[in-house]
Formats: sequence, structure tokens, C-alpha cells
Amino acid sequence: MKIAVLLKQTPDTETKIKIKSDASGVDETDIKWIINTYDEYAVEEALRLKEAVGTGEVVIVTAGIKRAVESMRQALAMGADRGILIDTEGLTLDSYTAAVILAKVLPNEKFDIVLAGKQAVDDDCVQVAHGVATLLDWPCVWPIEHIELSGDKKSVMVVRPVSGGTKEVFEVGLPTILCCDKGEHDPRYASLPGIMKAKTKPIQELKAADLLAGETPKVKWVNFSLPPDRQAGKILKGEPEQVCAELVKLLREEAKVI
Amino acid sequence: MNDTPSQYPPPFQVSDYVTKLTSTPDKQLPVGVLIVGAGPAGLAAAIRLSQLLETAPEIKQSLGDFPIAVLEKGKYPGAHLLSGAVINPIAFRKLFPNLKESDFPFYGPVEKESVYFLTAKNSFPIPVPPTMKNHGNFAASLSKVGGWLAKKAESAGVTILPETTGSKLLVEDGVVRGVRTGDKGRDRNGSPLSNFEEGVDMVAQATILAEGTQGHLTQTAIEHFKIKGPNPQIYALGVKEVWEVAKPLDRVIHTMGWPLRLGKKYGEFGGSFAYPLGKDKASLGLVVGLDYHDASLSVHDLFQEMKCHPIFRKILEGGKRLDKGWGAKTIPEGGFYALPKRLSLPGALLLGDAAGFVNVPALKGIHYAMWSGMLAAETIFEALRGKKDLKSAETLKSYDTAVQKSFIWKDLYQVRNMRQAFQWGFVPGGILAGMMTVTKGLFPGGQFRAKADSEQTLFLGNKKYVKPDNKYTFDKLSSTYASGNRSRDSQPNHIKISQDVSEVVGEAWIHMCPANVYEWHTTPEGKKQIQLNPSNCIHCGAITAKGGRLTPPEGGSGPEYTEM
Repeated sequence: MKIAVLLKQTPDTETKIKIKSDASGVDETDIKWIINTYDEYAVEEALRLKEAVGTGEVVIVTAGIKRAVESMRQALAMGADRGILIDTEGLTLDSYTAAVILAKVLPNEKFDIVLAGKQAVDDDCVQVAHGVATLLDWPCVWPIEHIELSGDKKSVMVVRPVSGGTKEVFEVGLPTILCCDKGEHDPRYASLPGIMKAKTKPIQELKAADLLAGETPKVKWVNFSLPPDRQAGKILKGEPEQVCAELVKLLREEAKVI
Repeated sequence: MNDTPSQYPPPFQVSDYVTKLTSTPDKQLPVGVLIVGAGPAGLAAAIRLSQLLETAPEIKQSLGDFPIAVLEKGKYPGAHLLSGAVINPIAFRKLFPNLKESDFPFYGPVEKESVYFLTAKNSFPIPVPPTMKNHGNFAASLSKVGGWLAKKAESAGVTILPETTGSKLLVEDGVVRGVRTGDKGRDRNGSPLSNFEEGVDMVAQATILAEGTQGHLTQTAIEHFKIKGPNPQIYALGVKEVWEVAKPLDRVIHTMGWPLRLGKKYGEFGGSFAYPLGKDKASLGLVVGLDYHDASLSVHDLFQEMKCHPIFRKILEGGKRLDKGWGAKTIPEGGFYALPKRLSLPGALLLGDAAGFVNVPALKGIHYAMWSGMLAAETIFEALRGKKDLKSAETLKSYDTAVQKSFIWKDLYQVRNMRQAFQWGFVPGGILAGMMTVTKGLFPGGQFRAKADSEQTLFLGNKKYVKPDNKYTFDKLSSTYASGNRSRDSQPNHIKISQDVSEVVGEAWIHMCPANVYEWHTTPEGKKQIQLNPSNCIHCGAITAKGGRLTPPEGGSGPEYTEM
């Protein structure tokens, strides 16, 4: 079983995001970088699939600049076997161009399953995995919280939560791209021997510029700004009747939601 | 009533934290030299040793695939480092001879300094005591310094393992063989979760204990090998904030007196600091010895009150506490006579704050920590080069000699009784300290005795504090949040205390803890007990000084300092 995990390095979710003074982007100076939260679940599921089969390979595929290698090594420390870094130094990619370069790399490796997080916690675009699936004409299920390999290893059964607590169950032929939600398995901790081994696991480097073949981003970033500060809440006091009347009035006149 | 925390010993046995090597080979991880703690001491040791190994490839090879490994319990190197700090750059110069001062991770040289004696409303400048002169020193943030040193170490080939605690000392036949790392992924009751990861035995030719203040394995080693010094180690608790300031602070400021009370009854020894961190930031804090007597004393809240004094308010006016601009940590203050009897053990060395290398009158320890790290590295390298047996007690003893010949020893000896002099109150202590300074420690000479902080009697005073305004003053919970702490809630409790304590001792813990870890709780039987919120803990170590015992939580827990 050969499994790829599309892994993105994103700012730690606790990072206080600052905008550059010319509003041209995010000021990255004090950012602590982590594996995109949902991608970490994808790594865990990939390792479990490989363990269930008993043989195979888990490959971490990342489009990013050199600092992303640190996050790739963390995934290798968890147990992945090797990495492919598509170096994007000097380029600005959007979801489309990211999908283009990934779709160029994945077929060469003949993966059975490609796992990704359901979205990146930085831009929340939710487009790259779908884009790759479209370009490759592979089936794609989003988001999933459970994966099971069929007995003949030719398909997977996946569970997808839909609104209201309902679950959809799909049987999907391979190869496929599956986008992992926070699932039933917490990502494992890297063991110390794992961390030590990860330092020497191979990471192949490709150049994004060589893979774009003239494709350009469909999105242009014009301006960045932070959301407005959250206003302090209001606490209404008094008799229940009064409070209710006041609440309705505020919802209608101030919040304008009813 | 003579109420002391030591009457309520914690459920902690040193023997639980000393073990033989596991017999399972795949749970053993051999490394060359193992360093516990990625602080100034441990990283200076790692960097110096890697420099020496560069000159001797055959020795480096003999240390295996991982010649130097450093364990760090924090989320990243620097996450648990906190100091004032004004740094004497002597160790940086020695360790990085090819770098210029401007390359070091400092904010800037100390240009002016003032010392004030404070009363509640006023401040009186006093001459800067000779021990406190900072000409030639640099203001810095120690968590940033730690991150910088870690990068230097990694680029020299050192393996740093963050989020990894040293949980047990591996000892066989009286020799320290390495460290068992802490487990990860246990729930509150200690049962393994689905992502449980058992610790491993890091087996090393030599183990360097550079854990800083209140080192878990260091204290375990000191007790197991029975090498306590003549005086017990005593501690101070420092609470610190970093502010964005509207106008640059132009000098280093130290104060004595208010908000501490000077009488012997209170036993309150300490002072405050305010240091410029470049043009737009300032670091300020309050340090109080944990030998105080009033159970209602809270260093956190006293510090909040202190910020309202005109002298500090002037600095902070129009400024803002950084979002991650708060932290607290203990400082070993016992000095010369509280140092362990030996600094080396068969197979292991004690460094920096873990050993107690702090000069209280000079308010310095970082350069001693780094210097001791360099001496440790040189000792180990010489032993390896001479093909000597690192397991023998004699081999590493040359580290003791090296420290005794260094300025660390000379400095600490000169001020050996100064901190203890203040047990008689501020004025007699000040007079004695003055005479000691003039005579370079000759007068009155001898060894002043001291009691452990946990043996100081407590009384329940009724100290009142300012109500937080969330602009200049804050409560403990918002401060704890500003430490960046996001420890996983569902993990076993790492703080060992007796929950059934007297009113006074319970109140003392509740007030002392800057992170709101302790609170009263009434059992269904109607009994009042101390209840713990361990995930609030920022590992300052005060509880160990005051009668409990801190052990390491799951690796990666605790504060995430970036500016401390």
C-alpha cells in the first residue's frame, strides 16, 4: 500500500497574526510554524492504514519553502517513510497552482491513496485536494472521519459526517484522494527513536517553477486586513419579562438579526 | 502556633525516580553525551563540546550516531527560560570568539543605572552598591537567548529533543547511566490513551544535569547520592512582565524597600527591576525570597500593586503588557554554602542554576551557568581524550576542581553570607552586607546558617491587594494565559503535595502560586482540602521550595515564553 499525505506547514493556531505595514501580506517574523492541524490527522490515518496492511510506504508531499522541512521531519518522526518537498521559493501559489504542481508529482509515484487534511487552518480555502482530484480525475471524498480498507485492498469504505449528526458511508475505488477531518484517532506522539531516525530519512526536493509549465495563479491578493476587534458583550439585568423585552429589542435594532 | 509547610511532607519518594536500565533493548536509545535542559548552561556545554569534538574526529566517532543530545521539557528551547535579564557577556565572548558583541542576542548595553529605595509614595535614589554595577553588561530576554543558542548548537550537529522530559535517573552500580524520558499520552488517572507513547532510556557515556532551578533529576541525584551542601538551598520567586512602552526606558532600575515590609516579623527579602529591551519594550519584575512568613503574601499581586507606584507607572504610562508578556520562576538564592558537596557524580555533572550558581547581591547567574557548561564540556572531552573511565568517581572530579579555580567560585565565596544576613531583617542585613562588600567577605566571615524555606514558620496576615484594572494590573488567571500556557488538561497530576494541610499552609500555597494552581475544596465529608489545577502550572518551582514537590508533566506542557 503506497500512501501520500499532502502536508502544509501553517502558523500555530495560537499565533497572533500581524499584517505587514504595507498590507501586502502576513508578517511572518514571530510566527511559530506547525503541521496544519487536519494534516496531522491525515498522517495518523496514513500510518494506521500502512500498519493495518503490514507493508507499504507513507510519503509526505509538501509544497512550500525550506522551513516546511521542519514540519515534514515531524511527520517522518511520527513514522512516515520519506518526503517530497516541492520548493516554492520565490513563487506565490494559489489553490489552483498548488493543485497543478501536486497533480504533476503524484502520478509518477503510483500512490494507492492520497490523504490530506480537510482544510488548511491558515487560509481555509478548502480547494487544493479537490483541485488535484479534478486534474487527475480521481474520486475525492471530503471530509471523512473514518477509513477502512476493503479485504481485496482495491477500495476503501469511508464515513463522512453530514449535518444533523447523520453519516454518509461511501465505498471508493483506488486511487483516491480523501480529506481527513478530526477523526477518531488522536495523532500519535513522535517517539524519541522515531525523532532520531527522522533526521536521516530522505526528503527529495523538486522545484515548483519546473512543474508549473506556464500555469499562473487565478487569484490575486490585493490587500490584507485583520477582522475588527470583538466588541465587549452586554449583560442584561432585571426581571425576566423586562430582560426578554430588552433582548428582543436589541436583537432587532442593534444586532439586526431578527 | 508554629506552622511550617515541612510538617506536611509530599507523597514523594526519591527512590521512585531512580531506576536501573530497562532490559528491553528497543526501549534503549544510546547517545554519546546526554544533556538535560536546553538553557544557557546545557546549551553552552553542548556548543563547547561540539567545538572540541570538531578537533578530534576519532573521539566524535566513538560517541556514536548522536554524539550530543539535549532533552528539553518545554515546547521549544527557550519556552521555559525566564530571567530579568542583564547579562555579563564574558561566556558569550569565550564561546563565540569569532562573533562581535552586536551579533549576540542582546537588546543593548546597559548605559545608565539607578537604584532606589521605595516607600509607598516616594522613591529615594541610593548609590549603586558595588556588587550591582552593570557597566559592560547587556539587557536581554533569556527565552530569546535560549532560542539563539539552540540554533547555534543545532547547526554544530547537536540533537535537541524538545517536548521531552527527564523523568527518572538511570543509576546502576552507583553510576549515572542516563535518563528515562517521560511517558506521553496518559489520562488523568495515568491510564494510557490511544496515542500513548512510553518513555525511553537515553543511555549515555556522561550525563549533564542542566535543568535550571528546582531541577527534578538534579534534586533526585543530590538526595540519592547524599551530596547536599552545608546549608539547605533556598529560593526566591520572581514574577515578571514585558511591556510595550510609549517612550524608551533610558536606564536599568533596581529598587529595594516597598512593597516589601522590612521588619524581621515578615522576613521579606527582595526587590524589583526594570530593564529596557530596545527602544519600545521594557521588562520589569519583582523578586521575593520564599523565606517570608506571612501566608497572605502573593508575589503576583504585590507586583501588580508595585506597578502602580509613580516610579513604574511613569514607565508604563501609555504602554501595554505584551499578549505573551508574563511569567514567573524561582531563583536559587542559597549561594556558596548551599552548593552541593560535589558537583560531579560517577557519570554525571551538575551545572548552572541546577547546582545553585547564583550571585544574589549581583543579581547574576547566566554567565556562571554558561561558564559551568563550558567547563563541563572541557572536563568530559579531556576524559574522553585520555581514554579515562567516565563511570569512575575520580574522572569527573576535575570538573569540581575546574569550577573551584574559576571566577564562579571566587565570586560566590565573596558574597557567601550576604543573602543569609537578611534573615535578621532589612536594616541589620543591609549593614552586614555592606561590611561584607567592603571586606570582600572577610568580615564577619564564617558560615551563616539558614533554614529551608519550607521550615519557616507562617502566620496568616491579611495583606490586601489592588483590584485589577486589566490595563496596568491583572489577575492571576489572565497572567497565566499571558504565559502562553496551554498544557493538555487530561494528564496525570505532576505536583506532589499533601492535600490535608493546616489553614495557614493552605492559604500560603494559594497566595504564593502565581498561576492559580491551588484552591480549597470541601470533601463530601465536610473536610477542607487543597485541590489542584495542575494544567495551570507554569513550573516556577515555588511549591517545591515551600513544602511540595514538582515533577515534570508531559513533555511540551507549561508556559511558552518568547520574550521572558
